[in-house]
Parts: sequence; structure tokens; C-alpha cells
Amino acid sequence: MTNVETFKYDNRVVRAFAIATAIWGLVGTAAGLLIACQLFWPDLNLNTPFTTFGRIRPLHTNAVIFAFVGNGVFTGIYYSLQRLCKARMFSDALSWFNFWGWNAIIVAAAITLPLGLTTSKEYAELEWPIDIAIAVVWVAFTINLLGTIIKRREKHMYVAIWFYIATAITIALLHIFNSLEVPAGWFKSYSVYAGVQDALVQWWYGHNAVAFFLTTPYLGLMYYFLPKASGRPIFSYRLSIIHFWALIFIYIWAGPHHLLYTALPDWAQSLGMAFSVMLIAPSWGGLLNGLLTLRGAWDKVRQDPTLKFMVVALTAYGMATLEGPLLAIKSVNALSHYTDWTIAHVHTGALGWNGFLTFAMLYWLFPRLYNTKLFSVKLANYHFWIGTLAIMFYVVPMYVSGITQGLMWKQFNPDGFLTYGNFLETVIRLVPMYKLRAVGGSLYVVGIVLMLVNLYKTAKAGQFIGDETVQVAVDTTDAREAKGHWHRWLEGVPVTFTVLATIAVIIGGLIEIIPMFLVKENVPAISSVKPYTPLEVMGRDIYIREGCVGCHSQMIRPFRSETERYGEYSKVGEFIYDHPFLWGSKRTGPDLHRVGGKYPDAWHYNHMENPRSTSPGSIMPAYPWLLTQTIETNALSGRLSALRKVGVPYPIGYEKGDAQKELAEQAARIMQGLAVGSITNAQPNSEILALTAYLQRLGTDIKKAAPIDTNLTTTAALTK
Amino acid sequence: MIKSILTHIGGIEHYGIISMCLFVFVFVGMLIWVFTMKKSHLNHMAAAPLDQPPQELNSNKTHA
Repeated sequence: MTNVETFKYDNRVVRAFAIATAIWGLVGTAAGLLIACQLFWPDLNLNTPFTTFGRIRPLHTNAVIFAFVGNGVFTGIYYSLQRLCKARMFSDALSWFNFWGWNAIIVAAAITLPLGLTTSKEYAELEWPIDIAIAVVWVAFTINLLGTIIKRREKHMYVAIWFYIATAITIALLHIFNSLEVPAGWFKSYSVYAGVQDALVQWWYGHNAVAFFLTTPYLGLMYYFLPKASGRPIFSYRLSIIHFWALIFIYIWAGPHHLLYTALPDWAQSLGMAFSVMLIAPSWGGLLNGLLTLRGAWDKVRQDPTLKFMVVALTAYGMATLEGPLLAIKSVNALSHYTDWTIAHVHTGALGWNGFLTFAMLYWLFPRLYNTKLFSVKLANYHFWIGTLAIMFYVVPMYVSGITQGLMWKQFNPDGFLTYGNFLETVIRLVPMYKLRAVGGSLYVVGIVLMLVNLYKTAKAGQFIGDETVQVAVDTTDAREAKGHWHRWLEGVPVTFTVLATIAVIIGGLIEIIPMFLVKENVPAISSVKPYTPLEVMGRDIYIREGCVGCHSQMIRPFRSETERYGEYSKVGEFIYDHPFLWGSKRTGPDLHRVGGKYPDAWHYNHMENPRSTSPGSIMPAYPWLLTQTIETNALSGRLSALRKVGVPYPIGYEKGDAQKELAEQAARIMQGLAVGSITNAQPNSEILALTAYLQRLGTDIKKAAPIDTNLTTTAALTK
Repeated sequence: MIKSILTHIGGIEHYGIISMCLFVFVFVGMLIWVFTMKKSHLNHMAAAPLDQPPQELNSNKTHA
């Protein structure tokens, strides 16, 4: 039985998200270009705290991931969901709350990150009040999504909608569990997890944020917009189902590949590696499904810039999803990890897959929203070629740089010494590659500017249709009553589907997370590892504020090349008071885990004032404000109290009693240390004292220790 | 309390095997199900994005 129903699609909120996507795309990539240039031209750090690499880098990653891609996700979902469900969005109020809420969060990020308000956990840097806002807005989006699906007029859910549901549910889970933290003030908090547990939860989050924020929603968009733009049905719907279930089930297991050769139990590392390799199958299934959809439509690809963008996006997806599993193989990871190879990998995904698919969607969408033709196909073609060249200029130098540096780190001379014993030698070799990369970044930004002009002109030429009226013949037979395949029944019951999809994504997480709590018992006790002193706590917070973790790791892997360079490899028991962990994921500068005691106090003072004075050719920013700004001693009490709540055994009342006195005493000792190095004009209570105290403490505890149980799973790797 | 329960779960050594079995079970089940689906339904769904309302009022628009 069928009825004809009339209703309106909401194009206003789609337009709002689309405009936000285009603008944030420019902002995010421009921020990336700035930090790319800072790496070969340190003066571009501008000698202000707010513009240094360490603070702008998270701004870049957040702007690209959550502002550009995030708004792109919402644009595509709000447009396609209404049409696939043949229904207006569930609630206009929730739609607009989603739009304004999400973009307010982004503005908050753009303000707080340059101010140094950060948790330091990658892609989860925003502090706790913003974390709560993210959760609220995401729940509103999820309600709107599921509400629309429930009231749909189409019996079956197209595969794109499955990807949207998986995205909504999984991101909520990831965000909430990774953001569990105890506030120590309005914009300061400490992760409830410490050390290895924090690292595991963070990379369970980080890996799956890539999966369920940058991949699954975009696959949903691909499955909708590719058939739309090409006028062809999807090549194999069967393959798309396998793609979906295999992808969401396998992806969630692969997180541990970010922690290879760390103190993570060996079975978990191997499991992460095995599932990472398996990911090639569903990823390439999806890629082929997309490309084969264009069978018989390749003549259109020659003409239509939208399809060109989509083809390169799919190709980039294919390359990134082949490379990712390869990088997750332990022996490859031993070379690639901490180098620019990872940067090349993620930018193949971000610039190629996310960027180009977003551009394709915007070029397709704007003429339809404004009921006109694209202002200039030629200009879009220019954008396509400039953008493609940009990706090449970005990615190729980063491969060269990554492999070069990885090999240089491991190079020994015939006498058995490191050939490049000074880390700086390996950095200086990369500077030409960094310059080439900036050329690629500049081209990419130019391409976006061309797109903005094109879209603006298109909008000016057309007439916007805010409420698009449609009539639909509705089959009123209940999906549950229809006799058919049980999966068709499943699709007809979105709540059941959602629950099953959630179970599929949770299983992997649970089986890996539960042992994370067990790891604590497996940590070999190191009796000499003690909590940080009050001054060191303040210094560590400065280290976090300045984003030092963006360029310096604190995790020495058990390779001879690393123990020769840095000292004893890092033990899991050394990090039990690290809330949050600061292992890092990139070594633009050297590892710092054993930097304590390596240099005199005065060296750190001079190095922070001007890194080039102690290390000629260094590309590190200068931090002169650390020499003049005073330590926030009035925040100490709240911070020690919060650290106690997350498990650091400071005595009760310590923060109100001896802590301040001990802080002052240790600061005085550092002052004396500086005086030994002929620095007599250091300001009492200046932040450099706290940072120096923290750096001088790093990795020194075990040097005071009795012999420890080194029976770690990673010891075998020492022979590598 | 939850942390305490989690911390005392035993049998950690079986987790790898359990996870592999789960994976194989889910994956094989999915393949069986997918390959028993009806062709007519699959074809209908494959064209879902192209399936526009027939009486779309803004008929001068360029939707496929």
C-alpha cells in the first residue's frame, strides 16, 4: 500500500556546514603551512608564546580534523541522510544546536590552544570544559541522526547510513573514555590514567579517531556522492556490506600498532599488528568498489572535476590503507616510527582522501543548493591539478626525509659507534625536504583559495533553496512484517542495528582495554621511582603547555641504536606517576627520557633563551618568556590535590603544608646551579627554574635504583 | 570498584585466542549471510542514492 506525502528537505543547515567546511579548510591548512615553515625558519615562531610550533601544531591538527573534516562530515550527512531516508532531519533545533555548538567548540579550541591550555594528548588536546561540550553536541547529533533514521520513509537503510551510525556511536565511546580526567582548575586537568595505561587508552582513541572520524563517515559520503556524481549505482552492494562489517570490526583492534616496541604486552602488540595487516582487505574492497562504480563512466571523469577529485581521493585512500598496515609491521615500524614517514602517511590520507573528497562534495553540492551551474569548471580543474601537485610536493619530500632520518639514527660506523651521534646532524639534513614540503603546502592552500572564489561566485549567481519541497510515494508496509532476508529486517530496525554495530566495535576495544588495567600488576616495581616534586610538577605542566611533546618523545625503545644515543631503554615502571603520559609520537628533536643530568642547569637556561646559542643549526623555537614569567605557585595546591585524586601518593595536606616551601627550596638550588654556570641574573620564581627542575629529573630515578626486574616482553628486541 | 574487578580478571593469556576466534566467527558468519542475499534486493539497494522521488517539485534542478 502506498501514500503520497509532501515534505521539505532542510538545506539551510547543509549550507551552513558547507560554508564552515570551506572556511575552516583554509584556516586549518594555513596553520599547517605556518608550522611547516617554522621548521626551516625558526624566526617564524615570532618569539611569542602564542605562535610557537608546539602550540600551533595542535591547532593545525584540530582545525583540519575537527573543523574542516568535522564540518565536512556534517555537511555530507545532513544532505545525504535526508535524501536516503526521504525525510527532513528529525529536529531543526538539534540541527542548529549541532552547527553552532560544534563551531563554538572550534572557536574555543582556536583560542585555548594558542594560550597553551592543553591536555597534550594527541587529537584530544582540548581541556575538560570543552570536552564536556563536545560530548553534549555529539549526543545532540546522534539523537538527530537516529531520530531521522527512525522516522524515515524508505524501508531499507542504504550502506552509507550504516557508516554514519557506526561513526556516531564509536566517536562518543572513544571521546568519553579517553577524556576521563580530574580538573585542577578551569582549564587544567590530569588524565585519570597514568603512563602505559594512559598511552594505551590514548592510542586506542587516536587510532580509532582516524578510523571513525576520518574514515567511516567519509566512506559513507563516498557511497552516496560517488553514485550521485557519476550517475552509476554502486558497483557491488554485497561488497559494500562486507566492507562495512569487516572494517568496523577489524579497525577497533589495530590501535596497539602505535605502541610497538614499548612496554605494552607482546601479545597485544602482535594482535594490533595482525589486525592492521588484515585491514588491507576491507579497505581495498571499499576502494575497488568505489573505483569500479565508475565502470562505463570514465568519459565523465575526463570532463568533470568533481569525479577527478573523487578518483584521486579514492586512490589516496587506497595508498594510505595499504601503507598503514605496512607501517604497523614491527620491523617496518622500527624504522618509520618517530620520523616524517608517519607525517607523509597521514597527509596522504588528510590531503588526498579527506581533502579531495570534501572538495568533490562541495563542488557537487553548491550548484545544487543554489540551483545553478558551477561558476567555473576550468577554475575547478586548476584547483584539481594544483591540489594534486601539492600532495606530491608534500608527501614525496616527507618520505625522503623520514627514511633518511630513520636510517641515520640507526647507522653505526665500523668501530661500533653511532655515525651520527649528534641528533642535530640528522635534523640539518632534512631542512631542504622541509622547504619542499612547504611548497606543497602553499600549493594546497592556493587551491583552496581558488575553490572559495569558485564557490562564492557560484552562490552569487544562483538562488538558494532553503526548504526543498518533495513528494514521495511511501510504502506503508512495515519492514518488520515484510518477509525476506533477516538482514533486511535488521536494517528495518535501526535501534537493533545500532546495538549490534556498537557491539561489533566494542568487542575489540574491551578485549584490549581490560588488560590495560591488568598491566599495572605486570609493571615491575621500581622502588626508587617517586612522584614529582612540587617544582617538577609545575615544570612538567610548562612542558605540557608549550607542546614540547609534539617534537620530543620520552620513550627509548630497546634498540642498540637508541640505548647508545639516549641511554637505558624506558621501563614501564618509570611512568606510573605520569598523568598524562608524554611518550610522544614524533622526534623532530631528540628523545628526552634520559635528559636528566645530561647537561648543566645553565645549558637549559641558555638553550631555552636561544636554542641556536647552544646548538648551532637547531630548528627549535626560542622560549625567552620562560625566563621572565613567574611560576603559578597559587595553582600548586589545586594541582597536587588533583594529582592525588588520580592516584599519585602525595600525603594528605601536603599541598597546604610543605609543598610551597619545598618548591622554593628546589628553585633556590636551581638558581645556585645556574650561578655555577655564570648565570647570575636569573629571576627568582621564573618558569625556567621549574622546567629545568623537571628536565633534570627525567629518567634519573632508576639510576638510584637497586637492580630491577627487567624481564620485560621487549627485552628480546635488544638484540636487534 | 570497576577498576578493582577489572584488575583481578584472570586468564589474560587466553585473550589473544578468544579474539582470533571471535574474529573468524563474525567474519565467516557475515560472508555466509552476504552471499545468501537476494540479487534483486542488492540491485535495488545499489541504486538507492540515485532513487529520487518521482514527483520532485523542483524539477528544474539537476539532481540525478
